[in-house]
Amino acid sequence: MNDKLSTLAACIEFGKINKAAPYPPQMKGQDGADEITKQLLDEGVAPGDILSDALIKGMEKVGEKFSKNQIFVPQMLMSAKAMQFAMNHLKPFFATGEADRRGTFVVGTVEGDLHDIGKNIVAMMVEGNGYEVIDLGVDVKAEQFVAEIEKNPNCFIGLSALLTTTMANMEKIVSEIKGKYPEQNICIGGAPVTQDFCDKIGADSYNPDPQGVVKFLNSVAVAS
Amino acid sequence: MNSKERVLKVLRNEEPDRVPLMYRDVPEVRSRLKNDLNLSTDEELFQYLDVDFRWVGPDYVGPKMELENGNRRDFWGVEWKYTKFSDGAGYWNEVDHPLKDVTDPKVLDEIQWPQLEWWDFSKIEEQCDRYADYAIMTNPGIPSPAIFQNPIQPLIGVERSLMEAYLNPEFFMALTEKILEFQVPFIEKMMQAANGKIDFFRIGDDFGTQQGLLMDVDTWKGFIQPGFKAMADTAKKYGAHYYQHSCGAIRDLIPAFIETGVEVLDPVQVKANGMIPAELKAEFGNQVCFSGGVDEQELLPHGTPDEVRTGVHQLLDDMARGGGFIIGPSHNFQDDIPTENILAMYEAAKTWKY
Ligand code: B12
Repeated sequence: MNDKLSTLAACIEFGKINKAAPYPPQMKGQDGADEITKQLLDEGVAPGDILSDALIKGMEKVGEKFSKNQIFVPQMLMSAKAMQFAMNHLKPFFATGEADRRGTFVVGTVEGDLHDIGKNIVAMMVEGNGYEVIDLGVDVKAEQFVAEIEKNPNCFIGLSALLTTTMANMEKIVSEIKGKYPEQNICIGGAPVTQDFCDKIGADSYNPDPQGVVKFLNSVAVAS
Repeated sequence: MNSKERVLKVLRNEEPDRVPLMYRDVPEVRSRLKNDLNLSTDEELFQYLDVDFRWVGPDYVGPKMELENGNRRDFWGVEWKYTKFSDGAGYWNEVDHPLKDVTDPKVLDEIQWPQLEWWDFSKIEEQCDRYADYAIMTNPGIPSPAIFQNPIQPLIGVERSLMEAYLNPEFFMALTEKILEFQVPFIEKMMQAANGKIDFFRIGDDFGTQQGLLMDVDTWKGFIQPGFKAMADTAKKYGAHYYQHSCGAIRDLIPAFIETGVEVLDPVQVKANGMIPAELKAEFGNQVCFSGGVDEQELLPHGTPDEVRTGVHQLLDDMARGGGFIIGPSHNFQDDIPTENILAMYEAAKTWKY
């Protein structure tokens, strides 16, 4: 495999954003995800290969380490940022259909809730695993999800809630979506959310971390 | 034995007549409780529940915070909007991050930082005297300051604040310095005005998630600990004890907290990873006093009053013997907690025996 692809995977794994970024110390002064992605494209490497052989590989490592508490939120965010810089170079190719996405993930923190650190991490991990992500932000109401489903009928929905007080709104949103689109796949998560709650409100998948939701999406996306 | 003596006793790892009671809430709960119990003032409510703490602080007399659009702008320059999550309740949340594009430490010199003159400190001692029988703690808000969660997060945005120590450490340090240039003299003035009568100086910041720490311990020691120590040491000069808040799974950070001089650690979010009462007590019980512990992620909102009573007794069996424990909710009582569960919690705590 192209050496640069493995270097790019390492940039994602360790959160090396670009040449200017001082983190991680052991890669100081070297090219980062930004520069290397551009070089790979200039050398004619296919955007789909960059995504699957470098970005997704790097992100998988990040996800594993995060779920084992080996790295923390800041490292996760820097890896995600490195990913974003790489994706900025790749996006034009995806738009023209030159490279394929696995599916679309519409995510938001539910009405009344403004905790977004976890939701953003989930969004980044899902994007890093080859999905298009539409992030509706925080304090998102049922109507906004419904409007998005009308535009993207096959999308997956992701709901985040960090408060017991706003879990009630998660339930409300699930029932409104399922009322109109019983087949729509809805994933939920957030600190107080549990599998029991997921079963009770009729959502399709609960996961305590982003690794799990990626697995779920992959299993459904492959099946369909 | 009065409330102050009771609280100070557990701090010395001795057993008083009953376990001390902490209280914290959101405004919706405060008004509901007063309404349900037919009480008219906060003081009546605290007396009804036998809360052992009272809170004091200076009055804000600075530039007006209310904006014409109904939002508020705080003294750091951050705008907040009230967002409802149901018909009757909501939370204040920031609308913008005024320093989100500032990365040059020099720019921080040109910014209007809060001024001590924006507070009136003259009535603090009188407040302390009024509550002389209670354990006196600094009010929520700026009298119980933070650094990381407030104001750094609202000023530069939450994600940037988490990465800044790695990507632009000079800026993170310069910003912290500016914040301390205001906060340390503020604490000094508040403590002076109280004339040694404030028992607990509280720092209210957060470093835990449901699963683990928000940042690694070394980063915390490099970037957060010095500022906390400077603030706490200032308060300690006036005889106050250092009371630290942090939500989440912070077990790995407790040794660093102890090293910083923390004497009470709150709110013991028991459903977070590793925050197991009996283990915390065994590992750290003779080095730090814990405060909180009654779970509001499951027990308080969804349990029956009987389950609450059982849970409270279990918690006290695990944590309270030998002193070193103050009981309270694992965060502010939220609006989804029924009144009868709050009453059951205090009643059970008062009937429990050492
Ligand atoms: C940081 C924080 C805040 C920050 C939020 C900043 C921001 N922009 O997000 C601030 C200070 C603003 C805040 C405010 C409040 N908070 Co707060 N907060 C936290 C804290 C300490 C950490 C949350 C966090 O960011 N974790 C880091 C991320 C990475 O983890 P995560 O969000 O859990 O996400 C992970 C998983 O859950 C999962 N996941 C998340 N979403 C999704 C979605 C899907 C689809 C999937 C599959 C997975 C998934 O994957 C993520 C990555 O692993 C928690 C403590 C805790 N135990 O969680 C309290 C906590 C959530 N807060 C709490 C409270 C009470 C509040 C307030 C109501 C305080 C008040 N006024 O009384 C306000 C409410 C504001 C609002 N309207 O939402 C309580 C809630 C208790 C309850 N009854 O439910 C907690 C649990 C603390 C406690 N001691 O109990 N808070």
